[in-house]
Amino acid sequence: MVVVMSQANSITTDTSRFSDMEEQQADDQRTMLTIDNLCAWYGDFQALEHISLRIPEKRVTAFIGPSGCGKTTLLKWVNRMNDVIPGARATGTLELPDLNILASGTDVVALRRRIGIVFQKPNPFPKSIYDNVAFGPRLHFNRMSRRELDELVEWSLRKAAVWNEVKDRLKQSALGLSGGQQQRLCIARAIAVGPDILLMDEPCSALDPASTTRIEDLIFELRKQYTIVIVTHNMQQAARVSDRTAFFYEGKVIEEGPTQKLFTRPNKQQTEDYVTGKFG
Amino acid sequence: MNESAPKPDFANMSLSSVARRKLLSLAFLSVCVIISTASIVILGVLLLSIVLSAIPAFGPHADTQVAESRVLVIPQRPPGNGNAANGDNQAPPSLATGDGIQGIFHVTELVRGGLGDANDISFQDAAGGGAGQARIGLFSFRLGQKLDETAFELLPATGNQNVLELARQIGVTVPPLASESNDDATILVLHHPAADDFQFDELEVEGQLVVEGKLAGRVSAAAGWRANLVIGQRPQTTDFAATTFTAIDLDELKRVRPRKTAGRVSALQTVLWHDLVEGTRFQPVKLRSFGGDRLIQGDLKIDAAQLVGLSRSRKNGFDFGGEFKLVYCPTPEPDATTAAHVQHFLKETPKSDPAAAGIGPALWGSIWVCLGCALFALPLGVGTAVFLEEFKPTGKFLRFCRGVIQLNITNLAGVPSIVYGILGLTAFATMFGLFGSAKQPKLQFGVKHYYQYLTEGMVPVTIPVARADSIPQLVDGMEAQTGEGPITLNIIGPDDELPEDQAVLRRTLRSDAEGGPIPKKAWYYVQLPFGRGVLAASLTLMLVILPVIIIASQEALRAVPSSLREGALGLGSTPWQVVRHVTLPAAIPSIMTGAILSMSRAIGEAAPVLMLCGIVYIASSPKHLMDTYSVLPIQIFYWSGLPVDATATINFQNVAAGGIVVLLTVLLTFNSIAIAIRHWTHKPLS
Repeated sequence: MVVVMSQANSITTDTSRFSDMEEQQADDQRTMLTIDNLCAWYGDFQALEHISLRIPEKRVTAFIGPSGCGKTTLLKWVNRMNDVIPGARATGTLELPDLNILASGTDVVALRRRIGIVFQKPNPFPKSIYDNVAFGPRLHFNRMSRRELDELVEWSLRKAAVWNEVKDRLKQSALGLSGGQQQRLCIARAIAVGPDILLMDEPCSALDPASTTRIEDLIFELRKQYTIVIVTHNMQQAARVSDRTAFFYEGKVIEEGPTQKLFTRPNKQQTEDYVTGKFG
Repeated sequence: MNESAPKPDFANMSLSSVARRKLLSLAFLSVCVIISTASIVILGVLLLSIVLSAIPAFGPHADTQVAESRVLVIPQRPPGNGNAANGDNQAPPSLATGDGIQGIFHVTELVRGGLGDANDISFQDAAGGGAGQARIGLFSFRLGQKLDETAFELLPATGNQNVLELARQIGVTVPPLASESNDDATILVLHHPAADDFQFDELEVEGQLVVEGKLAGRVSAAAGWRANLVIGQRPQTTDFAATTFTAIDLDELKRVRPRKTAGRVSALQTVLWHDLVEGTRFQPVKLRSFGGDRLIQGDLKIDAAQLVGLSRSRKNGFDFGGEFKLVYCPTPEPDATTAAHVQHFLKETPKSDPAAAGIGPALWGSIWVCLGCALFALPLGVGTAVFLEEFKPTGKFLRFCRGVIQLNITNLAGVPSIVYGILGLTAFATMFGLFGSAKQPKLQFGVKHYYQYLTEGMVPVTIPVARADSIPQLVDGMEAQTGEGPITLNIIGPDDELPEDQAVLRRTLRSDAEGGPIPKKAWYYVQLPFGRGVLAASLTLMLVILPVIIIASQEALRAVPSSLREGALGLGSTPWQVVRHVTLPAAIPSIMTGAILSMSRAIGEAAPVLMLCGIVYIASSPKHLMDTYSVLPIQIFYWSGLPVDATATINFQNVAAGGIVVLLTVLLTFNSIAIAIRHWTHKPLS
């Protein structure tokens, strides 16, 4: 109960720190990811219907909505993780400034270096902490010296705010870390390859409130450098960390706009019902 | 809905007895305990009985050591010259030693005189014959020919009939051929029905021409053969060290070489061998000589006092008188240590005497076959599993194909292994006959062909030839190889005078000399088709265990959480990198478990190998992948089927039990290695 109270309190405080910039950001920031008229299917089931969104650079965009509304589907189309699912297909436009993501000729390996993803459940590899972070760089970068790699690993772990906790046990298995540490390790792993966009699929849903707070702080830090798209069921979290929010319902984007506006003065009744907890 | 269903009345429901439920679970538990205890006890008793009956096999061995050898020369009896026609009237020549030496003697050599032109020789004991036990082995060797052809050549008349006739005369039954043919040696074994044990010590001939009267090459150090050995081109005295050959003067042996080569028999050696147990009575046994000068040697292992005479041939009036060399062989000292006994059992070849028998060739055969099998099956099985599991197709048709393949693999895991034996025979051993027969393979690699002749000075010489069936042109002055090094041949015409000089005679060859082909195979020798060799067996066993490995590996890969795959993919790994760096390392421990189980199956598998080898008496471990071999299960199976002698302290059943212990040890060793690998690969994850 205490936790809920404190979260409820933090909504107002946290959202307020974006309030001064929220209005102009849509105009100021370059669009990093353009989604236009995107439809996606799993077999015969249409998971996304005519999605059109603009994800601004170096901002946090949150996708909210009830379960099964297509948030994660959209996220997984952004770095083509849905490719491996039999029967999954998509039409429409999904573009970086210089790259058509959905084009069949797009190299997904190079794409996924630019668009990192962090999953709902922490999924460190059953390797050492060091090897987990070094995994990506070893795939993508040629001829890194031992020292360069060490520095990159340290930078990534520092960036993910987990360095102080793991610096003495880099050679130990990553599975020995706590859930929150594992998730921050996964974030470190994702940023170690130098992505432009970080996709986060409910990164805190498996974590305790303290870890959640740390991750949220981390997101706020990372926002300076990366374009972040976060899927969350937790509306307070969306309100706390995101600059813009898109509300999904049954495969459609019902409303999209600056977070504070969407949470305080939504245009649609459906949105208001959802953010105030009347349904969903 | 809520109104239609009445509210359950929990308060008035009758409760089932908790005590009864607990009792039932206790009863189930006790049944489980009883069953598992019983099975453990039964297994323990079984294992204990095997180990107990295996103890004699690892015990002291009668023939392991020869303390001392002595040479005894029996003075030559004057030849019965001119009396050939009425030989029946002549008294049999006596071989009585008469010098008071008692003990077991081995007639090791006929130094001078001997069989003359005899066709038949009879051995009789002191009492003049009668029923008894004679241990008889008949061996025929020749190059690249099947047994019936050999027999055809071997005996004056046609076909196998002569072997059978000979067998009938000496009162033995002819079993089915023990083996179709070795590459270089054909071994026919005759069982004597009265003899409990199977008196035959194996003989190995390696890629050497067997010139008439000579057995070129290596004869394995087998106790029963100590008398029969004739030194060939390159006397490898080291191989004979374990036997009583120390007493043989190799140079002297050469003096009994036949004078002239006749016909195609030049590539053929026949040895008829007698091994008469001390004090036994035996039927008169005939040894046949073929074509007059063929060297025949017998091993008479009888008390010297009983060796009173050898009857003459009635037909041709041969004179058996001659100078014999006997080796006095005192009773060997038993081995000192258990370790030596175990080592003996592991190293020795299968013998006719259970006390002397060992499991060496079968052990090495098993190791070769199973290592080969693992080498092929593991990469292929794991690779297939990775392909089926990690590279699933998305298209409808391809998914259907994958389903069909998956179904097939699952079903193949249950196919009886004998079926694979047939498959292996067709696909690997004969290769559907596409490349000719295994004896005359169309494709060979790592073999050099030679043609061997025996010079007039009785030196075997080899001349390299291009193909197995080509015969070299004999030109005066051409080079040839001998055991001592290259020589220049002196070719003379068919009717020319032989040179007087011994040195020249040694390198003199008549231009119409008959020779025979010898292949010399390197360790990397490969042929197509594979023939019934190690490789064919490895591949067949691979087929047997492949489905199991695939299924186990698939299960292991499926057990790897998909979040790991997604994580790696999300970092921009290619599918192969996901497998290589994430999925496979995570699945290796479980894959190893499956591999261990299937390798254990491969080691113990007898049925498919039975179709592909069938050689029980083989004296050598494999030298190359096409070599013949035997494996532990088959060796054990064969031993366990031999008759039991209730009076003997050690029977072949004990030897078979010893073989089982060795098999289990090999199994455990293989498993431990796999477990160790699993442990090491698992370590970084813990």
